[in-house]
Amino acid sequence: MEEVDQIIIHSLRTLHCEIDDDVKSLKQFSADLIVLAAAKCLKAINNDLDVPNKLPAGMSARYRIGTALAHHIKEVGYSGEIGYQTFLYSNENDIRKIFMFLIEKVPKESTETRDEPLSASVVLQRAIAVKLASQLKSPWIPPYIRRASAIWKGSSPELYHQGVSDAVGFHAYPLQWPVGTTNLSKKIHKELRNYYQSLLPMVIQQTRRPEDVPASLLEAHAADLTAQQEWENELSKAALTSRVSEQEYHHKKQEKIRKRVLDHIRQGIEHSNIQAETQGSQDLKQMLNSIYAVDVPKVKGSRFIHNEKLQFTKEEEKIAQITEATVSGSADTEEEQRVKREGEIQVLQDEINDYLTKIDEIDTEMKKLVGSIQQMQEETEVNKRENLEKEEKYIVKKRTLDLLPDADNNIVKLQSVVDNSAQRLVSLATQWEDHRAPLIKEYRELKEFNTLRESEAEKKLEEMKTFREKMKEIAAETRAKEELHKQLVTKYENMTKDVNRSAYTRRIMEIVSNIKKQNNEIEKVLTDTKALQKEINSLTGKLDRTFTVTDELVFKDAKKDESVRKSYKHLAALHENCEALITTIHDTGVIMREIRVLEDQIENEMKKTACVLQKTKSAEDFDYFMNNGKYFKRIMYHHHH
Amino acid sequence: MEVSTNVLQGITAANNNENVPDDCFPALVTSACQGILNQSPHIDPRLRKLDQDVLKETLASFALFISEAAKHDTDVQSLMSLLEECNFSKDRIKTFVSVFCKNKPFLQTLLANTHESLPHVLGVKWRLDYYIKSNHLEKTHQPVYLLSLVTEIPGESELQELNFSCTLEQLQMLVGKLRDASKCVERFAQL
Amino acid sequence: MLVLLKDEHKEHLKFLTGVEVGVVREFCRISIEFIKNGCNPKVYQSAAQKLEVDAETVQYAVEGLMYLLSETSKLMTNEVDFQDSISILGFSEEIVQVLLAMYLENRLMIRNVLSDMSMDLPHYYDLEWRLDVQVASRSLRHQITPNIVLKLHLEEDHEKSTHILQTDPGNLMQLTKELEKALDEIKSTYCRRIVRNID
Repeated sequence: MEEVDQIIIHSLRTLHCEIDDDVKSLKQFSADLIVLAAAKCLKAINNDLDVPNKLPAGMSARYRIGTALAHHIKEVGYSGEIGYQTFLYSNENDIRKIFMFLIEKVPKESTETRDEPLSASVVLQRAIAVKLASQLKSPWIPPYIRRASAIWKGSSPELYHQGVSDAVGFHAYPLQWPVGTTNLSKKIHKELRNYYQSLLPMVIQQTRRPEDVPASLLEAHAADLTAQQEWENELSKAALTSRVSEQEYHHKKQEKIRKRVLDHIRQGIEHSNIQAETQGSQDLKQMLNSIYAVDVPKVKGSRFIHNEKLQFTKEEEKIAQITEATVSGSADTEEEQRVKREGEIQVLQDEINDYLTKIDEIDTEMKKLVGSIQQMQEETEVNKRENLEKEEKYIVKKRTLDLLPDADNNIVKLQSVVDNSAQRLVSLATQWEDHRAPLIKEYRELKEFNTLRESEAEKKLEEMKTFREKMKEIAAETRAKEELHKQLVTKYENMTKDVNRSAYTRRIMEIVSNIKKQNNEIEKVLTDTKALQKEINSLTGKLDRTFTVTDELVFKDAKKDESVRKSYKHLAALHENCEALITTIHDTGVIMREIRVLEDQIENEMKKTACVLQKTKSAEDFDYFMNNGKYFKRIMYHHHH
Repeated sequence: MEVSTNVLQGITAANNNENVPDDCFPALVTSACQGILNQSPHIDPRLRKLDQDVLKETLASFALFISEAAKHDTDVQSLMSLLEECNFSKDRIKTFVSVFCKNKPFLQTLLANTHESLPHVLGVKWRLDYYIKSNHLEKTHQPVYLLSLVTEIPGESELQELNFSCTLEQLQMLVGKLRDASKCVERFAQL
Repeated sequence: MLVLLKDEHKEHLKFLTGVEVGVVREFCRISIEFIKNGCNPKVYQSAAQKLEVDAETVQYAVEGLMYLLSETSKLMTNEVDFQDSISILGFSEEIVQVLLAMYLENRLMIRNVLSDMSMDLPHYYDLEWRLDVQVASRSLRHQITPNIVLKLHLEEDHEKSTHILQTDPGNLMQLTKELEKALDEIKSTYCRRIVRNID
């Protein structure tokens, strides 16, 4: 019973009952404690119940509370015997039964929620709670001895903030850094490389304040990433509508933007022409020039771009004219000189052009002549070849003519020669076949082998891919599991380690094994009783059968013989008597059983009453009643007088 | 964690032994970390023999990469697989991870400190006065508390003070509210 | 504490010795009204016409009463002292009782008006608070930084101002503890002794 008591006490403690540590069993429970524990249990079962936790001093109030508690417990569904006396004059067994019942009834929310997987919000809330707890636990440091406002603390270090002395606003500077210096497919302009190498400061030295480096870095990366993503988006959209390559799209967009800029500036110039200040317009012109100077894409063969360029230069001229018109007023002489110089240059240019055309003409003539020489050479070659052929033909014809005089003989000879060569050809062909067949076979085999290997390689590649994916998945899973494990470990550490747990399980195991044993025994007894029953049945059967047989035999003889008739009567009487005897034995058994049950009950009741009597007799209740009696007596006395 | 192609390109460039030899790689990663932490504006002398433009690109890429990883608190596993995809050798990955892990707490402290902040209350000074009389009124006889909240404003070296007075009732109200807040925090810590 | 009246003041109040109790009552009402809501010169004119005296005399009398009331209220003069102070003016017993009753009735109100006029420091008006936990920022994801944001309302000369502050849990605890100490201080025997001695 000790185990049960411990379990009950443990459960009561979890319900926030204040039970002293040295209370080990229900025997030690005082009436106050019993009332408190019962009230707590009832409140845990039904929060709305209003039951007092304490026993008051007054006897009648005690009685009232006792009956109220008993009433509530009955309402919950307790079927055993219960009344005010159960609490005030407690009996260990009754109390145990009541508490076992009550604790069974207490809802177990905590155990139900524990098994659910932790949701993200719960995890976050836990983390916040842990953080807050650790912050509250750490000592307060006056600001004048604090070194840094954010420090790493604890065994598994965590950032811990107190104050904001080190806080720096998120202030980003635009950063520049070389991109693609090692990329061989894209040439970097020499000047740009020079700038990168000697002038551009390191990325971490580009901010005015060193504190702004991290913010600037984060900002730079975010900008870089966004630009890249936006560009990809735009490109994919463009690719949907019209199929252009990335480069073409890039150029197109560049042109568009440049054109727009130019339009705006031109409009601006035209607009401001009225109050044109020479200085301002010159600056503008310079700026325009600088815009032209931006490297125009050098893509050969794209007619579109070429057209654009042409258009562009025209526009350029237009703008130049406009700007020049605004400038000319002030720089007259310079302008004249320039015109003159330009004229000279024009003349010289023309001359040069003349010479150039002449050179070109001569060149083409020379090319023509060289071509004719080649033609001639080819012709001679052809002639030579024809000559050789003709000579050969002549030799053959001459030989045949030589053979003609002895024609028959020669024909036979020739025939044999022809036959020989034909045979040789055939043999050569067979030989060739012999060689060819295995080679072809080998070739085919090799080819097959090759394709097999290829497919295998592909398969392996596929496998590798799947493995890699699996690896990633498993890695992620392990991470998640590790996280969960960490959480569980912390939770486990946070949990109050109740020693009872192992005792609990051990006890339960013992009980289970005991029950098994008892089951076995019960079964054994059952089989025994069954066997007995069977035996009894067979015996009664036998008896019946022998009786009927004897009955018949005797009955037959009885007709003839008087004495046998008498014995037949005796037999019948014997049979009746025996039956009566058996039923009597049966009844006695039943009554015996009943007696035993009743005896048990009597014993129980005896114990209880003894207990109650003892309790009432002892204790202050007796005094109380005595006092009350005295008091009443006094009153009576007063009344009399 | 997403990384831009420019940065990936820069990191991959550092993987080439011709661009960044093995003996320079640790110095490169360390310099990137130290650069973010503002601890040494000077670049490791070992890195002087590299092409300056390559050095600037790789250093910038690593600085961006490291700051981003610290910001996202990216775990070592993902970092390793990212570098593996750039074909880094095991040794280099190990070097990078060890340098990064060593510097991560400092980097994150710095990043945690990169934020705007309201004036932060660090403490309170108080004084209890007894208000006896003024030119308009005599026999007032009531206690007056002068409070001065000591606040810290980021970026200012001096602590600031916010001064105000309270009658006894007002201070009781103030303390009541602060006690509420403390209770709330404590309750939240026990969840 | 006795209030010593100046001669000029006595002169101004003398007027009231020669009128009926009802008039004195009316004057009292007017002066209390003026202390509450400011002067209204038109009242002087109409009162003067009714009593057939100079408006100036009425004005002086009312102002005299106002001054008397504010001085006695300022000093928290008790009943006996009040009667003694005005006894020099030679009012009838009935008028003295009227004045005394008016003084006692309005003393608190007048003291409130006076305290409103006194020097005012920025003082506590209200405090709102909120528990924030910063879980991510632009520069650092995955963080947990608890903060308590405080909105302190102060008042000075009926003008409210707000200050938005923040603090961390540790400092909040410290702050609360420190101010609780301050609150306890007023209950200490030392403070109580001083208060008793001053009163």
